Amino acid sequence: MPAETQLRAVSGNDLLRVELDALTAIYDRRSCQTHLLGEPLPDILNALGDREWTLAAFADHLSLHFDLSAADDALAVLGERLGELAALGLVSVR
Amino acid sequence: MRHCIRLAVGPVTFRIGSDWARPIAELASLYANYPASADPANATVRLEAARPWRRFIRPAVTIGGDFTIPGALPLPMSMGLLAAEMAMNLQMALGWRRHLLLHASAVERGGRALIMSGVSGSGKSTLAALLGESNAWRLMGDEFTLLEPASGAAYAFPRPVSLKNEAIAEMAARVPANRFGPLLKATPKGDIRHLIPSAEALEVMHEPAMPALILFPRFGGDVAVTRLAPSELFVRLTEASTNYAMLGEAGFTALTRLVTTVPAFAMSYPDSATGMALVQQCWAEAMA
Amino acid sequence: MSAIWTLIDLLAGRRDPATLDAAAWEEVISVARAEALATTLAERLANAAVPEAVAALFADLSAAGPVQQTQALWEAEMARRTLTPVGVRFVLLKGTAYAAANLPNAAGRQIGDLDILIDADDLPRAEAALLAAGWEWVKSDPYDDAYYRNHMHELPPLIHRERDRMIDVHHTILPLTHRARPDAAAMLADAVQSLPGGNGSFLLLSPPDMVIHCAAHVMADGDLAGGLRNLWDFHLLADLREDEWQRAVERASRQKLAEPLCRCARLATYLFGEQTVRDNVSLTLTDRMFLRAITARDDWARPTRPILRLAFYIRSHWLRMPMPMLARHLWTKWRKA
Repeated sequence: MPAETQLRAVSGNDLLRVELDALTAIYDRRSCQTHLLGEPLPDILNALGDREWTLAAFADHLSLHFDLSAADDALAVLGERLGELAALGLVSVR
Repeated sequence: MRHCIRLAVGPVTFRIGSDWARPIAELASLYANYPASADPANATVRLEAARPWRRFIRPAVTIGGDFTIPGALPLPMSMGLLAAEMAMNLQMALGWRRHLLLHASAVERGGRALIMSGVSGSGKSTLAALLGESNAWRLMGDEFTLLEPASGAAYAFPRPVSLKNEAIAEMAARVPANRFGPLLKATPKGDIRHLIPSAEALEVMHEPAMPALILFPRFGGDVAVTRLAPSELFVRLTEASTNYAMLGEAGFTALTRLVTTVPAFAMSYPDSATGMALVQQCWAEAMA
Repeated sequence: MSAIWTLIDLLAGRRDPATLDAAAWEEVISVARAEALATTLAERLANAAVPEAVAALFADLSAAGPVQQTQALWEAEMARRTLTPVGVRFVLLKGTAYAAANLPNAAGRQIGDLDILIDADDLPRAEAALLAAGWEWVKSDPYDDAYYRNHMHELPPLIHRERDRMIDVHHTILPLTHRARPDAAAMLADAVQSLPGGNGSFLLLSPPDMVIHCAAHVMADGDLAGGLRNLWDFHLLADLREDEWQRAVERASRQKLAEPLCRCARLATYLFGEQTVRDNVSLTLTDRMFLRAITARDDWARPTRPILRLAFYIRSHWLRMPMPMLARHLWTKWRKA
């Protein structure tokens, strides 16, 4: 996923979240779908909040709060996780 | 259709039509003690001959109704009762929306429900039947347990319990003969005999109970009881539900509330007596 | 009065629900389910005086309806996220379109697959994008594949790997060898935006085109299975302004679809119109045959009139073969004899 990719998470109002031990159960009101997300996906969703980010900016923001390893790896790995969230419709990607 | 019967089980009223008299007569006998209902049916089943001449020549019962699956093979007339039961299950599994449906048996004690979820052969029906015959427990159902989304309460759906193979002899030793349906030999699932729920169970079949314990029994292994984490319970229950996805937000809220408030165990056991003891043990712990 | 006609009268508002007894309700419910009209009936009778057990069932159906609709519109949204980035413009068809526009017939309507219309030139790009985004072919038989691409009017069906929902990508509204000459390009060009809903807005057929599309499928598709529901759709969709209706007739004539359009209008009025209006409809002999085929269900919801339905099934295949092909075929057979 290129560093300039625009990302936006689904609005918090559209989701119901229930934490169950290792997984978080998420209900998406827009799709009526239920997802079970394991770490770090729920945290990533939380951190995306209600605004738009570029992948690069988001990676920087995350590194302030979470321990990410060397810069290159982090971007690629983060890109993969965001791709997974996008496939579920929880993040829109441009 | 020439022959017809109406049956009420819990909140469901079935209208069953048949091209032959025999399955209807067998159903009338099996359900004779069930309270009658004057309500219009909310589920319709048809037991039909695939071709007109099949009513007479090598008669085979094809399952039909409001909801069907394509390509189901017909059953011989001797298993007409089984066909009727399968058809009734299908109407529930594919059509019922009022409750979250779990493929599970359930028994009630002191207003609380013990739910046992599992596939055919897991022992859920036999355990429920055994518990139901003791004074302490009321049989709520052996095939489907109905959960009301808003309240989380379990509702009974006490159809005749489908006992298979060895379980038949086991129950026959404890229960009078007039509580059994005919012996259906060599069906696709082995020998089957239906156990009619007790009069008490049928009398209070509309009374709900709050779930207090969920078990996943597995018949035929060494004794083992493992606590299930809520996330694993959630996955297992969505797999055990035929209509979770159709209930939307109400289903999600009900199921998450259930898995975060009710303890659950996977339980394997070598024989019924051990199984019963383990169940009582788990129940005692849950009540503590 | 047969159950299917009771259902029709209830939907049309010509029958008082309070006059049905328990047996009549059971039969109507079974027939409604078989015709995919159960939730529609529930919505139609939402405030009517019905027995408690029936009201409870109707409440179940009405509660499940919005979940279905939301899921269907979500499929449309996921298709948008896949196709728009690659520049494929698509128009929603059928149930999903009615839901997106919140049309009167959307309430309680069951929606199966997502049907979309795109330009024939966009097919390769659309196919590639959908496959890359998690859809896969339902069948992988090369003969079926060729049949779909060359003779039908859509890509072979695709199903999404994880969401388990199907999408049908059409590039015209009727099979290519059909007698009619549908003008998909014109329909695409005249597509309109729906009002923004939960998922933004989508492209839909213009109201006159939507009516034509509905009529084309009632009359020309298969063995009239689902015909009653399609005519209910038509009845509500055809409630157009005078100028829109004129446009529909004009457009239909140009596409050689005038006959289906007018037949649908007569049948829908006869089935669902007010008594005074239907008294003025004169049905042709062929209309009456269609009517008999569409109402061929007994009180246990079994299909009846098998020979008539078979005739319509054969006819639908006959319709797919243009006259010159059919004539040549017959001429050749005659010459050989």
